[in-house]
Amino acid sequence: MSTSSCRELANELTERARRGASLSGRLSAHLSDCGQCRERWEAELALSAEMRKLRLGLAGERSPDWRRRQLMAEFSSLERARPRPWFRWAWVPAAAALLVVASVQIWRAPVGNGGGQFAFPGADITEPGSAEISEENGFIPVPYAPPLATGESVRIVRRAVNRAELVRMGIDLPGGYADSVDDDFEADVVLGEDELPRAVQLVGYAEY
Amino acid sequence: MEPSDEELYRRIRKGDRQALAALYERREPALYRYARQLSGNRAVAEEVTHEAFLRLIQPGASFDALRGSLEAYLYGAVRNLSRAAYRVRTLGSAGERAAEGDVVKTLIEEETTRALNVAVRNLPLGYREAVVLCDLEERSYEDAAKLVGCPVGTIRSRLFRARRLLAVKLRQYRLAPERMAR
Repeated sequence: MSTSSCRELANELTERARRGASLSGRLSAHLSDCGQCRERWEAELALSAEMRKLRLGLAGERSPDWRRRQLMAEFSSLERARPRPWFRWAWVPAAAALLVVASVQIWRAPVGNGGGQFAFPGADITEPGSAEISEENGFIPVPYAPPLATGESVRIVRRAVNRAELVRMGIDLPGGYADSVDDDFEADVVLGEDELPRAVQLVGYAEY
Repeated sequence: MEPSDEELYRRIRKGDRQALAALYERREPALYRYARQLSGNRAVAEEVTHEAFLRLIQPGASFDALRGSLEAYLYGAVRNLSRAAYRVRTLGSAGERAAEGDVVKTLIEEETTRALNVAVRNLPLGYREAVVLCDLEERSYEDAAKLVGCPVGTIRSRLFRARRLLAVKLRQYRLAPERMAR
């Protein structure tokens, strides 16, 4: 029998011995002719038999139970130290809540008052038809203020106005006021329905 | 239906003790035997197996289901730890080895089988892994290849070569038992 045939059949012999399978007709015929392969087959059978015994001998082996208890105890201590999942994700609803509160605050803020830069507390002195609001009467229009809508009512508020406040509105102080050393002036401020100032009349303007 | 290892792992990450107990019960014995054959030492095998599970429950566990099965991860951990322990232990005392032999004796009655056990433990690591997984744990070539992380053909050829070496050792033992029964 040729050596190449033996090489080809060697793996099959091993596989059959491992699985405890019987020889096929072709293998039986080969073994009856080849002493080397027969010897190998017998060695494989003996090895497989010993391997089975070894497997059975080791089958019940495992770590002692205290190892399992130790692992469970370590797991418990790790779990205690670990941040809770709800706590780890708490920043998400917190951020959402903050966003909602901020949105509500912005929504509830007075619309169109220039971000709250002008507040006009003071006595409402509007009397229907009491005064004509015109530049001839000393009213100085606030530049860049949105025009009044048709039919929009206005009210006039008397209050103290600071020099800087007037500058921020874009109003140049007329003649005598410009040279005044005072910083606060009394003024009638014309407000639209949106509470934005449209014109300012400095009280006592005519005296200057 | 039994939950998969990966499902158990997900539950473990959520703090489920029962899932850890179930996974341990399912995988620990085979991992221990694998570690025992790789390291050749009972205490080392216990330590290594425990360490592999410990790594799994650590907050920064490196298991990634996309890179392979949990079982392969555990076997990989045991293999690496056993190798490291084996390197240290090769410098260890002969007394420890003798004590180990006594423990094996209580489990394996027959001299020949004990000699085979010694022969398996003296195989080169790659061959030993193939024998432990395919012949002792009766895993398929495909499973063993996945666990070791190599092609199926490699496992098959390692096993065949290992068996050839073991068959020779066994025959030598039968001819002269006193030379191998250590």
